[in-house]
Amino acid sequence: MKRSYKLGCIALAAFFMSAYPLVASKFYTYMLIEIMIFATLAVSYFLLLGHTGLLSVGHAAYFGVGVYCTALSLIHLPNLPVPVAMLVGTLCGLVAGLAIGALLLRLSRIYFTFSTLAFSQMLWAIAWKARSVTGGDDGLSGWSSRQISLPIFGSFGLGNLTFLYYFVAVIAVMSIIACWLFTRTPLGNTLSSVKSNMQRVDFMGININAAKLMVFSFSAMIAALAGSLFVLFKKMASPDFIDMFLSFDVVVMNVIGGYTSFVGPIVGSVVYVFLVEYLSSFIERWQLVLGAFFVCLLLYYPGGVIGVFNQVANRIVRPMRVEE
Amino acid sequence: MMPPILKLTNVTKDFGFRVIDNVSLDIIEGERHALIGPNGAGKSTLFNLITGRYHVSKGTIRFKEKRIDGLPPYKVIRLGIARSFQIINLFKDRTVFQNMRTAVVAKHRLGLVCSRLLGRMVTLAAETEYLLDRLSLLPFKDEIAGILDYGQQRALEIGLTIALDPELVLLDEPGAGLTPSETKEVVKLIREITAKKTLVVIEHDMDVVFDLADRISVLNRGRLIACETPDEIKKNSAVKEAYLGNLFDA
Repeated sequence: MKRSYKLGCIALAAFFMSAYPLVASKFYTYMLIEIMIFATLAVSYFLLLGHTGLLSVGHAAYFGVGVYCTALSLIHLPNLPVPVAMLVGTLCGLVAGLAIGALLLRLSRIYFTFSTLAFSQMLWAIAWKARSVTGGDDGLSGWSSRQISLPIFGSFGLGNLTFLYYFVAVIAVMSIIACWLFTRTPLGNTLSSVKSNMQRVDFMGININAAKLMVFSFSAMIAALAGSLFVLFKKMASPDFIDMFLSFDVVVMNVIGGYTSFVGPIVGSVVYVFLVEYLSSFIERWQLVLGAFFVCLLLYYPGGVIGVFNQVANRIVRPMRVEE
Repeated sequence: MMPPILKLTNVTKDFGFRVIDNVSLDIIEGERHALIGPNGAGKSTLFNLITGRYHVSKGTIRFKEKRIDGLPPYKVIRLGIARSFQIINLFKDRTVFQNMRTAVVAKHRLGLVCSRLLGRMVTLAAETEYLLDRLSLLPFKDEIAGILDYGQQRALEIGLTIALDPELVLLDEPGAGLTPSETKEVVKLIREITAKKTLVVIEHDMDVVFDLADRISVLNRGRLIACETPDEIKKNSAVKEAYLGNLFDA
């Protein structure tokens, strides 16, 4: 795609996102906030699966760490500014990523995959059972009246949906840009080389485990940041935000969008949230329809929505080039 | 006499059966050394032992007097050894440029610190292009490595090895699968880019071996049966019997 087209698309998206809460209903503003948070989570997962080739099925663990650590900071430290509570949640995600990654990344393939699930379920069990700390199945709440104070912009309550939209949008976009930069640096190049040919990377003098730990913990940190945004958005913390179904949802978002393209997870999260919202309002057993859609996509379009888009674009652009 | 850059002492490798049997070998700094022998003699296994892919069962391997047996491959490579593979081993789904840049980033040992790497992106790109130019691969820099023709893939394979700027270069059958004209090009390339380096090459093409090597070692059934100059090897009866036959008989 030409640079001018790309810049045009970015400018259009920026305009759309800026104007959106001013014209959209509360329902759709709410939906787009959810999409932005899930897009951040899905992109953080892309760094693992799409970029480095690490199939984790426990990514909700880091999202959940962000959720609970931010929530606990907000509850137990009432004078702590909300952004600092988010920072605490994000850093806890980074630490969890480093600790769990250091243990699990020496495992390979299916052993790694299932141990990520095991760790995720351990954290879910803590969230579920440690009632005195996490509130158990009731979860945590009690910060909906908190204000976010920002220099220049002033103070806004978490109940102000328009403000919350812009707040989430700025952080989500910055996080996604950070992930994109991560993939574009020579380090990102090295990490995708790990996915392409691990043995060759090893014989280039690169410590593969250190490289994988770096991407794993960075990805966990971004997932935790998404979790801390989710806490502000939902105004509660629940074991549902750390369970294995959310981990699978993240995988599904990546696959629906196209997990080999950076844009894929973003598109996947848009499609996924829309599908869930609409299907669940019309069909009682909406999971069946979603499952069928997922299977069909895997069978016929394994490249996901981005793969379909690229196929169509090639069919249109190629004849035009030939004519030129 | 200079101490050897690489010293193998009584190196033995067992996989339930003995693959390398008590091999002792000195590689002198700056020499071009060829390792020859019939298929299954243990030549590639020896490379795998030197570079840490396999661990020795007995014996020691020293590089510049530092013991390297037991080290993982990435640590061995960081000491100044690089190897190519018998079966071409590239990042086949990535572009030629991305392949080479991975090696250039690895060479500079910038660690994994993003800020340091970010600051050097421009110089890394320039160095990558310079190396591709030396390999005559610059016009193909945006091509996916897996769709290059075989000779170009082989050149890139050697290029990835040399890009690390090692002191000791191990090339495993660089001429395998190439046409005679491609082989000539590759030999020329090897000469150019391994100048002032120590080279150990495994090769079955005797024209290449006798053209390149200062000394030749011969392995047979895991045992080192000779380590001599090319002229001496041609006359060595044990080598003739095990591998060369009457190839050099007038």
